[in-house]
Amino acid sequence: MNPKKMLDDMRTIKQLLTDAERIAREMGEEEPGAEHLLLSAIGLPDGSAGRALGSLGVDAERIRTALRDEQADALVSAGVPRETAEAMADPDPLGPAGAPLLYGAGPSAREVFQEAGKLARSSKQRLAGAHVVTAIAGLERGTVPRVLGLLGVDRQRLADAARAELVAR
Amino acid sequence: MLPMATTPDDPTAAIAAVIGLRRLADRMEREAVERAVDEGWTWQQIAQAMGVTRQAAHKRHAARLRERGRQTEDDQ
Repeated sequence: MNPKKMLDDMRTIKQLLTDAERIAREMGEEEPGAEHLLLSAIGLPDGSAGRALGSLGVDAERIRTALRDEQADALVSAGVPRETAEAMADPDPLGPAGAPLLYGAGPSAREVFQEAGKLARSSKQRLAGAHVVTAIAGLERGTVPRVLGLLGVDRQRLADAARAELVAR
Repeated sequence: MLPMATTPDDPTAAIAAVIGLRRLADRMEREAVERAVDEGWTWQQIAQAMGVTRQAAHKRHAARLRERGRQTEDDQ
């Protein structure tokens, strides 16, 4: 194992998880889910996640908007007045958490994080945002695939775009 | 099946609704507890109203409220 690569990966993991947690808490969520890991991956300095999504016309802002819309629509479908459902989009930030990194992550975030790590290891690459996007594209159910659907993003095309970013590295 | 305003038939939509309702319930809980603390309730009273232990109520809410400069009489 290349010590430089290991250090780089540790730095990436730390940023990925710390930012995912911060983003989740800013959005009023106790623990990060796959959607927060995706937003965090877009912010990684390697830029590959943002480029892969950008090639399909999606950026962090559009994802955040689609997340809010998806959540409001889901509440309305359960009979919650639209006014209340839409008010949930106003942030109710929780403030910084005491729990350390992955221990506080939800199952969907863990699944994506572990899969991204596996992808990076099997290709002997440094962990990059595009690994996270590839793992995200593999999720069949849950908030993220629903939001990608709202954005008109085909998961296979997203996986292809992320792989193209990884090949280019 | 529960009669709802518009019952989401497919499980994907129904589960998304459940997630949304949990988030809504969590937020209502945070706001209600904050109001209770503002009105001078103790953790013991909040816990009793919520049907949980004092420790559980404290663990769930105390840090956030302290950050917002709120404390109960029995806070520690």
